[in-house]
Amino acid sequence: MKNLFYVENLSVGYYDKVILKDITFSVSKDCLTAILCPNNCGKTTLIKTLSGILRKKGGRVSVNNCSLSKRSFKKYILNIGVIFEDLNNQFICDRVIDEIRFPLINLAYRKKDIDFRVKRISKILAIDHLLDKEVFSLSILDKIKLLIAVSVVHLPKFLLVDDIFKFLKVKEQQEIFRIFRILNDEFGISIVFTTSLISSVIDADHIVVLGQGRKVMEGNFDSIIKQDNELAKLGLEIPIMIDLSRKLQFYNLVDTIYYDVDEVVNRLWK
Amino acid sequence: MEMILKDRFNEKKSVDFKEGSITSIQSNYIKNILKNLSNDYSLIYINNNDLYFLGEDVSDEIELYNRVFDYSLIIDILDILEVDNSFLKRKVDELSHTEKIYLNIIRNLSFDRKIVLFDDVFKYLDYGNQKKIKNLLMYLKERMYVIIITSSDVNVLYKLAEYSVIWYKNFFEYGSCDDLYTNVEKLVKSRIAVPVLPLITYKAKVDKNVKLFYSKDVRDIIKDIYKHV
Repeated sequence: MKNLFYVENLSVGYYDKVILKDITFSVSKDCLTAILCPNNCGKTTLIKTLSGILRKKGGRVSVNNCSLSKRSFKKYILNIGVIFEDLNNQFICDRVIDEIRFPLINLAYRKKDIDFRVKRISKILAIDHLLDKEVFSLSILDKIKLLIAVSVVHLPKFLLVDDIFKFLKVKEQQEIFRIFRILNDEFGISIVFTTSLISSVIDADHIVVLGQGRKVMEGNFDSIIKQDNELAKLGLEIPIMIDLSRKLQFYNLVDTIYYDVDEVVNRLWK
Repeated sequence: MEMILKDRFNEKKSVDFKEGSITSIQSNYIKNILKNLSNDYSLIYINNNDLYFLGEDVSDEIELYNRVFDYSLIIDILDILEVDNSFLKRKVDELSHTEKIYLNIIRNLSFDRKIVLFDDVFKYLDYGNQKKIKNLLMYLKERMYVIIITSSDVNVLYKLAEYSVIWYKNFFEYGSCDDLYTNVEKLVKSRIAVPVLPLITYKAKVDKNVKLFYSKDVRDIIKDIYKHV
């Protein structure tokens, strides 16, 4: 896999306060990357910095060899789409269709292209029946789908998503992950999302854990969850079935993580 | 606070929300009735879904909400939430999402009402912050508040509440949380979510004829499982 998104020794913060220091990670093409960290750790500040809204305090960020700097900002920003945490404050238009059309009109696409793209993305996200609805009448799940549509309709290389899973129920989270996979597979859009929920990173391909202002660990879910004590020390909640499985593993009672009660009972008393 | 409800057969159902205790509710109907009481100024309703603020800084925001708040209560709450007093001078725009949740809880609790409904307040919080909110619930419990909680995670209700009321279709039960959630068969039959730990104890008994104790803590059930494997 080719690494396309590089973050090297990045420091972020507000005014003279540095919140995250020396963060280094890279994101591969067609990959779902999670940035896992506790509340108040700087998730939103990091996403705002990566999207160019906040000025970085140090380090280097680049997408497709185009760095986040004043000189190449226009080129950089076309490569990314962003969804912020505050769902209701990101809409500009009243109607769903106008909201999706808005970035394309801004980027001077032709009407024919705009219509084609709006139709295609709304069908993929299953919001085509909502196109004439008022944005503020949508459910939270549909608002998130709409924000995804708006952010990817110009086909960026990366989608940055700030901590939206906390608003969703388990089934709704699975639906969003399904959409992320489609964006990965069909459009080659890599996703980088932040969260403070371990349950939301189970399906991620790559996880970066931040805490106490720095990068604490990095790897896939299996390697991260092995360090459950470290995760708990950071203030992250271990989901109850994972916690149970890890403790059973410690006493050599099971050899893997179980997510289902029936499975763990059947394994314990064969 | 006693609540008398009637079901569709006009049968009376009674729930006694006791002072100095935590009662969980699993019923949107009961939740909505309680929520409406906040309009009559008899109950505090705290929900972190829509956080809207008008004040410039934190103390402005609290004052806008309640002009005659008890300053010592606010300081106590800040202390429990492990937030410095300088938090009161922070600009609302610069607060993180968790800090906004804290502000929402503080401005609501500034009212002198002794019945509080915490509607899924743990939802957006990590373990560390959930622990602080639990400490806050214990503080309010000591001050003889009537504390009512809801959560989308039934494991939280099982661990935290002393009493519980569940009303789903024809199923109505009110009683001690321990009794209610350990009657797994009844809950399963009525398609009501069962917390993981009692479910393991139940499945072990029914499917494998293994008798485990009902535990509220993962460590306790592990010890029990170790003895029986």
